[in-house]
Amino acid sequence: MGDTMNVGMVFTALNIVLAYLLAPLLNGLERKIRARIQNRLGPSILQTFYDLAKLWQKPSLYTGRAQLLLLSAALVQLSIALSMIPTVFGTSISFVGDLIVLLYLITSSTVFLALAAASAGSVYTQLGCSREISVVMANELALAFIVTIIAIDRGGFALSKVLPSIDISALRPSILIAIALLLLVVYMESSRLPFELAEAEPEIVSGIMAEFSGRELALACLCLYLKRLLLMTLLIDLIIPRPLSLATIPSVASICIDATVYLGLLTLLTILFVVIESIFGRFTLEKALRFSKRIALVAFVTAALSMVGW
Amino acid sequence: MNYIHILDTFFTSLNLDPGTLILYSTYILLLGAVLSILFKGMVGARISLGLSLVSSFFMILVSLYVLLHGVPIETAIHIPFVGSTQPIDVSRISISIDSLSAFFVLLLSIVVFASSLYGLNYVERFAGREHLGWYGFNYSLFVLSMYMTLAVNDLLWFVVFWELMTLFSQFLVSYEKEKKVAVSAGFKYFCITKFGAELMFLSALIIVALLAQSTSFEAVEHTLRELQLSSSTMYFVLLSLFIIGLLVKCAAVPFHSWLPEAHPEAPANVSALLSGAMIKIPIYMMARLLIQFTMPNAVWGLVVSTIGCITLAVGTLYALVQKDSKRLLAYHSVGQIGYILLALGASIYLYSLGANVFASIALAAALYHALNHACFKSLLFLVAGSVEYRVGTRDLDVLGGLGKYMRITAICCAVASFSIAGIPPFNGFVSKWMIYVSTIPTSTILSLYGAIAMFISAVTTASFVKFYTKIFAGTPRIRIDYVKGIPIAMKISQIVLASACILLGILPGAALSIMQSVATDLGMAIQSVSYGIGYVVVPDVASMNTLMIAVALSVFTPLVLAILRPVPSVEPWFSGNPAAPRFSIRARDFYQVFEEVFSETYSVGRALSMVFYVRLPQSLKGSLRVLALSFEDPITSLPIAVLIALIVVLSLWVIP
Repeated sequence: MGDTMNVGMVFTALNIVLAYLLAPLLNGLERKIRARIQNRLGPSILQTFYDLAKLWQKPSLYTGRAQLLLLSAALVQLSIALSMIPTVFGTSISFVGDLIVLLYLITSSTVFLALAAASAGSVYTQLGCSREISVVMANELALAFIVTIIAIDRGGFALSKVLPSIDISALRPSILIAIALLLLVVYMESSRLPFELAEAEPEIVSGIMAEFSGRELALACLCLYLKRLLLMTLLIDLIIPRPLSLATIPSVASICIDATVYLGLLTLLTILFVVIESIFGRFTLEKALRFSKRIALVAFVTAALSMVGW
Repeated sequence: MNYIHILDTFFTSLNLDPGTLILYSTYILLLGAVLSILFKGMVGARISLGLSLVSSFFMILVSLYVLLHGVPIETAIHIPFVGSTQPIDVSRISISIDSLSAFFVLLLSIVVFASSLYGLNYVERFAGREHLGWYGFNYSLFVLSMYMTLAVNDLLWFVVFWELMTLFSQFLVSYEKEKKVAVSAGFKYFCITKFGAELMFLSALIIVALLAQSTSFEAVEHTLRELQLSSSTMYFVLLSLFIIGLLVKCAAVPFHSWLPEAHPEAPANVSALLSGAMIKIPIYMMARLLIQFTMPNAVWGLVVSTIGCITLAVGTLYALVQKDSKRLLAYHSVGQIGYILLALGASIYLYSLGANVFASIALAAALYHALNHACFKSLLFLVAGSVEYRVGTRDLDVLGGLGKYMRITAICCAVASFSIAGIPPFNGFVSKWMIYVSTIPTSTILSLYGAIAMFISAVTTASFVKFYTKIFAGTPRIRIDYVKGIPIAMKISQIVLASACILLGILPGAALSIMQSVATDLGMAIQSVSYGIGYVVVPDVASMNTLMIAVALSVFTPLVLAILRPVPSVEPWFSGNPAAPRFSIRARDFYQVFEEVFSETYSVGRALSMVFYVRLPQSLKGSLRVLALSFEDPITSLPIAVLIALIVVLSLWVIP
């Protein structure tokens, strides 16, 4: 028992380290695909690493201690969330919390980032903050109903119950709709066009990123990439079964297969998201919120149906 | 075990027993009221505040004694020069603090402690006013009547102290009597709560006069239990009257709109008492009435949780659009009371369905959220008061940039904001988590209520992002370079409450073990839930470990901070110039687009309060005119109409 526990801890630590490498890599992949869609050659897939490394060497100006503290806390919160769900390896530290804790950690890191930006006090960051929080608020309505459907179906929020995949024989229609809606919410939450409102560069000079520079900007970007990775991982873990419990140490082959399937799905999702992103221009805030409200309405109806056993 | 030992040693070494301590604190508060008038002015107010501080310390000891030992304390106050009367004995006030009372006394004492300490410096704001002595007088008696409302075990004394509590708090609301808005807010508060209180009085009178023949809680419990079995119509009518009275006082929708007018107008430390403690007293009585005095009934559970759900949505969505700092907080008080009502109603409903595990978690969630709300909401009011104390305004549109000048206040405000927003590992998260866990997986209508509560939690977060950034970040529209930190007593009281928020967040097990004795006494012992110092686990359903999150945050955040290597700070700029206030978003417009998109939810809230505050008073005014009674303000007709009903019932009782 102690052994498997230790192995689990090692794998989880590896998961976090790999996530820090995977998140910028996925961003590089996105840029490559986007370039290809636009008939450009595009940068190297490692370009995001080069960008972050360059930012790391630049001096950073900050506007207050609160900004630094909140930014660091946001990164730590994301890392805690990363330890909670299986990413590359199918293990996690289960005793930190359940699905609610996970979602709250992700949301509050967004809030911390927005607060860090707004505490700079420039009009652009304030606008970015106001937009970011408005979008989070509106998405939360849909997300709350989706979580409700999942919790009703699985009888709780515990990750050990929620994450192992759907039993095909007892599949309810509501859970399928919930996963489809979650896909949309994950897309909207990960600030991509047409919902990329808080960082809208041509409109509000990068919004919440406007007052970050140097290492701070690198961390803020990393936070965004990690958040995207986390949200996509949550979606994947809800769809495919992961070997969450380490009752026996799994064989090398099964670990490899699991990791490959995960990475494959992650790549597929990224490609899907980039294709959608290249089709759209930016929505206005109002249009984005209205869209999110419609999703919430569907989620509400589905939640009501799931209560009567659908 | 250790804590009990320490507490017992304290009581034995001073040769005190907890019953006497209750009497002492009563006398201390009365003495405070008298001395406050004798000394007048600042000295009088400070004496009253100081003595309230002492009494709150005593009451904390008493309530901990009850909660840790699990035995009620009984004592009585004999009123001098009054002979014993029959059938209702008015010569003695019998007091019994059981675990339910003790829990709410603890909550109240924490708020009284902080706001009295805070007041010692805060009253300087009113320096030179002739009636500062009366402030002290009302403050002492307000605190005393709240303690007594929780401590008595007699229905009629409960109603009497309830009325006194309303009376003295109304004087405090309109304390700044030269401000017209304060006086009219106080008057509206008085009329509406009087309406509720009279309905309660009516119900209590019928229970006692026609059915119980005794005013003690045991007799009332006995009567109500019999009534529940025999005559369900009578039972529902009596309970409805009483519960409407309680809902009015805790500002549930549609009876809520007095609160956002009254609470902001009071001096900040009184606002903290009103929002932090007083609106929990109806929750206390509701728990007693619906769980202890009668069998938990599904209908009442549904009614209370539905009202809770509407209240939390309406209160919080309206808070989002406010631009006055204390008014924003007051609307959030309405919203947070909604959370408590939702949890309380859920526990009653689930218990009646036989889902005892979820019912016990919901009850614990209601108690936990009440305690948490007492800590963070009173802290927020103290913060808003500190800002007003130094800068002189509550207008979020003109405030800004105070973080640099009032560092401690800013940190305390951040802690309180994170707490109310439910950011892990702060205390609001723990109780909200318990609310979700007890409602959402049940697959009843409560699941939807829980989901709405989860959405509203995001709205709360948004509202406090605005609150914090508009006061402590950004650029102000007024001069603030003269501002310095707040006086020491105000600082300490804020720090005490902020620490309470953090401790209640990272030590949920410790807090739950206190609530366990309350839940056990109410017959809903927290079961099948394992909790330890920093974690709560509902096997196979949910789990959380806030201590773990807190440790991770406090270890790794400094590490990240250390590698950031920042250069000294700079001012933000805008188009080549330093950022000017004219380029910042106004507080009112911060979430303007969101309000437009979700405008339907606002119209629901408006329609609900329209019925109670405009339509009903106007129609009552019309019918009262038949009796040759006419008032300028339609709101006045609400209590008068109930008063007439009360007189009719009284005369029917006396005539035979």
